[in-house]
Amino acid sequence: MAHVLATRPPVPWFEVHSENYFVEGGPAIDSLMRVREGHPISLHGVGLALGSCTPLDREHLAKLARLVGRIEPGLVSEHLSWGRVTRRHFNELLPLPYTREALDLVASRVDEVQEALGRPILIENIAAYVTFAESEIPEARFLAQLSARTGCGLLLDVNNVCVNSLNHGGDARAFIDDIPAAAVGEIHLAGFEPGPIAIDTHGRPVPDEVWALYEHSLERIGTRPTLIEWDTDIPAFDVLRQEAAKAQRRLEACDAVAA
Amino acid sequence: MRSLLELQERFAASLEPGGATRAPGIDVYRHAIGANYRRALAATYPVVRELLGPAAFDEAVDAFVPAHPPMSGDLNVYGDAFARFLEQHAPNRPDARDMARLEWAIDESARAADGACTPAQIVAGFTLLEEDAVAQVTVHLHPSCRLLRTATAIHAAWSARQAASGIAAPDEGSAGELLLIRRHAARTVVERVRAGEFAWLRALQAGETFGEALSQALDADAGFDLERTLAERVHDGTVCGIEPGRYNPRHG
Repeated sequence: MAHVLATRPPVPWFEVHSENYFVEGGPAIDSLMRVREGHPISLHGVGLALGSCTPLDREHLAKLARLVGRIEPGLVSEHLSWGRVTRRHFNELLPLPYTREALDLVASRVDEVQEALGRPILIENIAAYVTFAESEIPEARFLAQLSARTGCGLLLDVNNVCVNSLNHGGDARAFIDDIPAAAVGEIHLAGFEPGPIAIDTHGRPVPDEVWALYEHSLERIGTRPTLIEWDTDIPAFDVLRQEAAKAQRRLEACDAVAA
Repeated sequence: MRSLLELQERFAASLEPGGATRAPGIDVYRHAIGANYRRALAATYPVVRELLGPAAFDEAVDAFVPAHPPMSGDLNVYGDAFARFLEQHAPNRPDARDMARLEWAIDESARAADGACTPAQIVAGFTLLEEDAVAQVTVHLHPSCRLLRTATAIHAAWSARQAASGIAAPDEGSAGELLLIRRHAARTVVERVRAGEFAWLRALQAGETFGEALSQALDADAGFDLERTLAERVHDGTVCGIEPGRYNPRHG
């Protein structure tokens, strides 16, 4: 944050975790407001746990609404996941079974959030390390139906599609093809930890297979605001900028073809 | 077919300590969740972590979470019970417990609301009051102020850590400290204060009248210098506002 405020880099926009700014006041929110003066901000939440059977945390939602009022973000997003039971929160993006019951529940939660915020949100696909025999709807179709029912947009995490394809089989390109292009409001790119189970660490450079899937996504969907997501082992700012530049080149190539 | 609720309850049970592993993927979540909490509490309590050592700190966090399960999706506000937990978990480390209380207070201070403090307005406010109305005034402290009475001397150890010069071991058996934590120009300041000032600030923060706060300050330290303390604390923004008391002879 200090680097960004000192150097005002020519980056088109920034994304932050919403929960980090659920504060009354202080240097964190002051810095964010100053960055906001020069750049659009996207708020990316991790803690709402929309797919949980427990009711939405109203205090959490109120803090998000307040932050949206203060920051006037370009985009607001959350995840297709659950994370709470009555006795506790797990503070992790836990996987849903893709059932009609789950679709009804998530749709109603998304309606509630969009109503409270007075704007549509984007829902992001996650890396799931457990799948459920109970699932009835393919994941991409589930996201498409969620968007159709609620008017929410989709945040396409290309890295997560890759990781799921590696861990569970399934055709990553076919997943992209099943996503309604018009609903996609943003794309995330990240690196993952390869292994017997590929882990979505968001702590490495974007690997070739994710770049390839991104190119396929752009051909299929068109250009979209794209974020390099790097949450752990955060590198120097220039490394992030170089990754962003790689995405920018592909976006420009896609626009050139379209033109 | 199992309901969504049943699936989530079974999944949650697998994630708890001692939960039977249903699938290899469950281990990924267990590991990630444990790591999240260690990381979150390390960020809130960096000096406690240095005092205990990383391995002992992580062990403490792993024991803390099931004893005080998180209820919020915002990890930034998780862990206020950690100091109390350390009383039982590490009873031979009162310094770590005091440091945890300090670091939580610092965290709270950093996220507190801003205060619209104008020293000139406060001075004018006092000047306008009749002498016998002054005692009835209530004084607001900056919302970021926190007051802490410790059993051990931790201020030096905390300050050394901020200067990145390494931890000075707390003085075994040294007297406790009275600390004021507040935000000033985007920085968190931790100051040792004397008994009189501590009692004065504590009373003001509790909503006592100006007169009552002075009385408590003098009880703690007969040499408490109100004029000088008030001037300093108005100037540095600790004293943030005043409100006349209920009875004000000027307005009858």
